[in-house]
Amino acid sequence: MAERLAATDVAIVGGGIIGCSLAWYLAREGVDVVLIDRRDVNREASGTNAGSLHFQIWMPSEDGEAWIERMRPQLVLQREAARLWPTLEAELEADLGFRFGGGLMVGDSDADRALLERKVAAENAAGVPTRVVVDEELRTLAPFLSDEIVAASYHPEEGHANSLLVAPAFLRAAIRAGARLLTRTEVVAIERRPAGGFDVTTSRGVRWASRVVSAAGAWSSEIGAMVGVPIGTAGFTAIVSATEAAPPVMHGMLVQHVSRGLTLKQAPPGNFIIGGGWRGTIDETSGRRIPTYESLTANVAVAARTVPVVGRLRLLRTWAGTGVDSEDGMPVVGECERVPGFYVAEAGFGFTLGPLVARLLAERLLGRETGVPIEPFSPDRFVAVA
Amino acid sequence: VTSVRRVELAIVGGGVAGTAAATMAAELDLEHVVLDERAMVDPSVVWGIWGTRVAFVRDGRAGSLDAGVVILATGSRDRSVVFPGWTLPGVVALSEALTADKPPPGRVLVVGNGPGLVVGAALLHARGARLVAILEAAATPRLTARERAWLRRAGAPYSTAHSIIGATGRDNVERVETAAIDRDGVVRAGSRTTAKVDAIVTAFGRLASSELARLAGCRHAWVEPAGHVPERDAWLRTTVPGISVSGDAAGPSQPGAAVAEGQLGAIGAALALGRLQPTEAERRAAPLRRRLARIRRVEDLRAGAFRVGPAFLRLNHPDAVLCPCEDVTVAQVRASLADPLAGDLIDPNVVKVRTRAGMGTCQGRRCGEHLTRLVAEHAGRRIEDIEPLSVRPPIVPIPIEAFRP
Repeated sequence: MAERLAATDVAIVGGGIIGCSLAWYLAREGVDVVLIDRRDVNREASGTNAGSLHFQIWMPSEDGEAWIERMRPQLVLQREAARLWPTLEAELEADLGFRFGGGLMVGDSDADRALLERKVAAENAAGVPTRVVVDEELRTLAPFLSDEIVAASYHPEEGHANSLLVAPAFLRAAIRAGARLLTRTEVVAIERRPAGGFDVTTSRGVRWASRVVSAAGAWSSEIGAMVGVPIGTAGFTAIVSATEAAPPVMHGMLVQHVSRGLTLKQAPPGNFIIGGGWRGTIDETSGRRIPTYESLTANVAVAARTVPVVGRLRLLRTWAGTGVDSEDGMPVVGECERVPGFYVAEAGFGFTLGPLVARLLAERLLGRETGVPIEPFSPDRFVAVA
Repeated sequence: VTSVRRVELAIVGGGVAGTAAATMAAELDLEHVVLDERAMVDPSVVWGIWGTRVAFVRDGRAGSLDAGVVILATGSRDRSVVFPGWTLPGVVALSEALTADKPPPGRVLVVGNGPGLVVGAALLHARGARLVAILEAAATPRLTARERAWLRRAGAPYSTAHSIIGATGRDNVERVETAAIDRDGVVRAGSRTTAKVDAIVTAFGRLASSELARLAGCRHAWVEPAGHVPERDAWLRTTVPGISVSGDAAGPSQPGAAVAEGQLGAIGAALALGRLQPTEAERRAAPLRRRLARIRRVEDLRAGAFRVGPAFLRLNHPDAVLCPCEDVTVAQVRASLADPLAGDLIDPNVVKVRTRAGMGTCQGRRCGEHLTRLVAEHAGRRIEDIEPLSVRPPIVPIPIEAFRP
C-alpha cells in the first residue's frame, strides 16, 4: 500500500522556473505548497536555455510575417515581463546574473528590414517600446556587429539572466517562506476525490492536495492526461553553445537575428552564449538529448558571421536541452473548466514569461484580480480542438 | 565546412593501440585513416562523434568522416589527486614531467600509487631529475625484480604506506607535507612531516580517456582504478553499432595489451565489414586473446597489492581547489551539497551547474572523478552507482573560425 503523506493546499508538479516561482508567489502569501519534481529542479528547459530575456517578439527563421500575427496576443505578457524581471534580484535577495544592456534583433537584407518594421509596428501597438535603428545609430549601439548587418529593432530594456540561477533562487525563497520540496519523486496518478481535492500518487506515497498545478513543461501533456485534459504542449530538443571567456564587448546586450536563427550574449564571466532555437535530437542508443552536427556547426557559424569577434574564440561546449511549445505558440495558463481545481502554467518562452505567468496564476489561486487578463491563455482552448 | 567523406575504417588516436590497429588494417587491406592531432600527415583534432560519423578540425577547417567502423584508441591520462597546493607551479603529473623539455628542477618528490610510480621515478632519474623521496600509498606493494633494480638506481628512499597531505609555496612549490597512512587510507596520527622541495611529481595511476566513446553514447561503467570504461564484446565492439574501443581508452594497461587490442579491434572491423571470413578472423584473434588474458591475469594479481582503502581518495581538505579551471574549492562543492535544494541529490551534473566545477576548458577531465566521489559520499552510494558528468561536444575546445562556411 502506498504511504499516506501530509495533505497540502497546492501541489505543484514540475520544478522548472514556473513551478519554482509559483511556489514562491504562493508561499510568501502563506499558502501551504508542495513542489514535486521527478528528478532535480531546474534540469530541463528552465536550466538549459540560453538565458535570453525576450521582451520583443522572438522570430523563427521561417514564416516571419505569419508568426508576428500569431504573437500579437501575448505581447501584453512580454510588456509586463519587462517590468517584472528587473525587480527580481531585490525581491529574492539573490544574484540572478542579470544584465539589461538592451536588445537588438538584427537583419542583413531588405527583406529582413521590412520584417523588422512590421514587427516593430505590432510591438508598438501593444505598448512594447521597440524601434528600428540603422546606420550610425546602429553602429554606435553595437560596434561589434558585422558590416553586413543593415538594420535592427531595438528594445532598450532587453537583456539576459543566468538560467542556472533563476529557478533555484525562486525555490530557495519559497522554501524560506515555508514551501516543501520533493525531488526524485515521480507523479504517477492524479485522481479527483468526490469530496473535493485530489489524491496525488507519487513514487513516494499518496498526498491529498486541494488544488494541483501542472508546471511540468515538456511533460505537461502527460500530467494533463492523468486527469483527462489535453494541454496542447509538446517538448522538443534545442541546442545552446558556450565559447571560452573573452574581454567584455557586448556589455549586457542581447543580440538576435530576425531570419537566421540566433540569440547571442556575453555572460558575466565573459563567455559568449549562442542560441537561436536550433534543434537537437534524441540519441537512439542512449536516449539522451544531443546536438546534431549540422545544427551545432550552423548555429555557431551564424554567431561568428553576425558578431565577428566570436569567430576568434574557441567553442567550449554545446548542449542540448528541452524546449516546450504550445500548439499556437502562446502560454497556457489557468484552471481547466472540466476539472475544477486542476490548473496549468506553461509558456512557450517559459524563461522570459515564466515568472510572470506564475505570478498571474498565483493571483488567480489567491482569489485576486490578475494584473493582466489570463483568459486568452486558458488551457480550455485545446479542449475545443481535441 | 569540408564535405563528408566515406572510409571503411576510421581510427581515432595514433598512439600504441591506434598504430597497431592501423598496421593490422593495412595488412588486411582495409581502407583506413588514422585521426590524431600529432600525426605527421594531416594532423586532425577529433572533437565529436555522431554514430560512426567522426567530426574533426584539420588545417583550421571543420570536417567529418563517415566510417563503416570506428576504432576509438584515445588512450589514457594521469589521474589527478586533489590536495591543497596541487595546482601550484612545480606540481606536475608524471606524463607531463616526462614529456617536458627539461626534467623537474632541484629537489624532486615523487608521490603516487601503483606500478607506474616506480617506472615513472626510474624514468625521471634517467632524465637527470634529483629525486629526494618516492612515496607509495600502498602498504605492501608487489614489485618485480626489474622494478626493484630500477628503484635502487633511482637513488631515493621508497616509502610505502605514505602519501601527500599538501604543498605550499609562493610562486612555486616550496614545502611539502607528507604522512603515513593506514590500509584504509587514513592518515596516522603524529606522522605528519614537512620537507623542502622544488618540484612534486604525482603518479597516482591513469584514467581511461573515454570521452569520445561516452559522447557517442556507448554504455560505460565505473571500474576502479581505470575510471569510466566501455562495455565491450569479444571483438572490442561497444554497445553503439560500428564503434569499437581499443587500448588504454578501455582501461589503462601496458603497451603489450594496447598492441594486442589495436590488432584485435582491426580484425573485428574487417569481420564487421565483411572483409574477413569468421573462421579466419577467429584464427587471427585467438593468439591475441590469449596474450590479453595473460596480461590481465598478472595485472589483476598485482592490482590487489596496490589497493588502498577508500579514505585515500576522500577529500578532507576543504580549502583545496577541486576545479582549477573555474577555481572551485572542495568546501564550495560541499556547501552546494548541503543546500536545501540539493534534496537527495545523486547527480554530479547538478553540482556542476550550481558551482561551475567542471565547466572550464578542461571540461571536467581533472575534477570530474573527485566531484563524482563527493556526490557519491554525500548520497551514501558507491561511485559506480552515480550518474557520471555528461560529456558534450566539442570534447576539446575548437576554434570557431573552423566552422565558417
